[in-house]
Amino acid sequence: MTPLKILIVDDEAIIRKGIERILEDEPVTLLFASNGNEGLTMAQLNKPDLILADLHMPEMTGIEMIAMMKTHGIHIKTIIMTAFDREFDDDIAAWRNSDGTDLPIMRKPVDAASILAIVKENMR
Amino acid sequence: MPASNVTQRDHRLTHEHLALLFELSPSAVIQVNSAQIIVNFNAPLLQLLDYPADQLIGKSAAILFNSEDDYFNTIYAQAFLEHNQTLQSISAMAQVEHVLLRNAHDHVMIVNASVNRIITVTGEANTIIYFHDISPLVHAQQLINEKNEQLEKTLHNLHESQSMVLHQERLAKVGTMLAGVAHEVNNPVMGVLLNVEYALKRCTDDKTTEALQESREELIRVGKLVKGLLSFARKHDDKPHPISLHKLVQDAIKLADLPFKLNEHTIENLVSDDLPKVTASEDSLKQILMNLIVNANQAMKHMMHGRIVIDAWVLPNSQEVELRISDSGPGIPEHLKERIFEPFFTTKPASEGTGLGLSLCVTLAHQFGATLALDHEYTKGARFSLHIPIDPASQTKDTEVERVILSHEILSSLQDSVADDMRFVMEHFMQQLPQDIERIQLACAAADASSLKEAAHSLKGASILLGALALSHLCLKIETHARQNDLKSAQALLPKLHYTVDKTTAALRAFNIR
Repeated sequence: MTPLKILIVDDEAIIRKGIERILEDEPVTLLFASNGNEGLTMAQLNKPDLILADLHMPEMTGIEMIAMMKTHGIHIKTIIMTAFDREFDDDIAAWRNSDGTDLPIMRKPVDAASILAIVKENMR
Repeated sequence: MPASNVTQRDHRLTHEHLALLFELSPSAVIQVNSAQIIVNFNAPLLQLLDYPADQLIGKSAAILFNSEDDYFNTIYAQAFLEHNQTLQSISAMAQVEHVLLRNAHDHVMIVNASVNRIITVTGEANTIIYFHDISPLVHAQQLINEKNEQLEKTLHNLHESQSMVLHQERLAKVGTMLAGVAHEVNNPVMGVLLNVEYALKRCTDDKTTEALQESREELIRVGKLVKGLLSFARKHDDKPHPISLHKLVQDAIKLADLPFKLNEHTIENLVSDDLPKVTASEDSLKQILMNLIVNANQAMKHMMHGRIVIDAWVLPNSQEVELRISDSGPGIPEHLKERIFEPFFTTKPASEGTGLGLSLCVTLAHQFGATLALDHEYTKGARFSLHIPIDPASQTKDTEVERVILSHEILSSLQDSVADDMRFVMEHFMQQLPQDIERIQLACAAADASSLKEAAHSLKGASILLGALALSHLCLKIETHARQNDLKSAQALLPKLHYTVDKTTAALRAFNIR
């Protein structure tokens, strides 16, 4: 079985590192980016199976990144992780995943169990 | 010669003198002899007490007073003065304030009395009492006091609304700040949480595991606390606008996203699509509903197959819709009912809530003119009801289901006059009701049109008798469907039937019939 390739896009190093630690025993390959711009490049180059993206990041936000992916014809399922409560829900609802589905939102703090659940779900 | 003798001699007056003085006095005055019999009085006194002249002479002066106390306090006021005061003041009149008199028609009036003792030419000690009617004054004083009280109340209300406005302004400021803080806090919290969980996974030492476990729980609590505070203080710029409740309830249920499968609980949205729109702030209303739904679910966490039912109807004779959220949990204990809306009041363990939920709901509801209350009558669990103003533009004339469920006039006249035998019918009706409903349900389930027709017909008859108009109307519909063999349409009316029965029994109870 080929490992699931996941791109983590978050400007907080402790979150990137934390997710990496949590998933160290899982059959996954992790890629990291610290803003939307980097995320877009990584997505283009590496074609990950899944993207976990923060919303509020310097240079390019998660939503902008998804929009750019769409215009570049990159269709990858993306899950938003945000520490905002519901302030940007309307924006998020207006944007679809680059494959046309609803953008799932997870509220930070997201715990290990939820991250593992997402990975398991996407491995099937 | 002792001074007291001088005083007494000065007062040694003939009856002629006295009669003249009485006539000249504009105040009401009487003369009472030592046997306390009225011996003289003037026209103003008759006017004041409305007695015919021939009814007073020779009567005891006590009949003019409201009570014995009033009488003795007045008649002995002068003696009291003589006993206590220096000789010089003996000639001064004793003043007695607020004496209650009783007039010829048994009406009580308030007077001030001036009392003086005199010695008549025959050497008898008499008492002369002047009455000054102060009823109008007292009445005016009462009015002033009432107005003062009203003013004080208004002032108090004003202070309250002022502090409410200040409170809301403060909340708005805090909200803006918190939105930023929440973001800054929950990011590192997530990082630390993942690290703690990672450490927990690799840890083999029991004591360290315990410490990490505790840290993990507290971190999760911090996250929830920040979110909770945020929603309490969030700045709401969503202005009230016309909203369709059915759709909003659907959204709230979806957003609450409850783990229903766990206990096999169900949630039902019975809010009708054709209810008039309400005026409310959409986000706030959604938030309130979510809070109530989440609370209801938490209340039922130790049971299986719980039910949450959300329904709504137009309140009779009002411009409001009542939206109700009912659960089948254990209900709220009597001693807590008064406290559940207080900020920070909670029954949940510290890790599950900050206690802001219900007080937040009340604040939010007030902001768009709605009210939230606990239904104290409901006994099958907990029920909260929200009264929301109807959007003026969507008020329809056709509010068939929502129309007055019971004809109030019929019932109240029943209570007044016919009473017993009709009450018996009602008692019987209430007892019979569950069985009637069951018969209808069974007939529907068995697709038995003829017994459905019969059951609906019988319930219709009983409800007409009681003036339960909505119920009888509904039964007529069911009966008609059954007659036409249209069981599907009849079946579709069942939820409405339950709802109406609920309302009818509640209304009957409100009339103190059971």
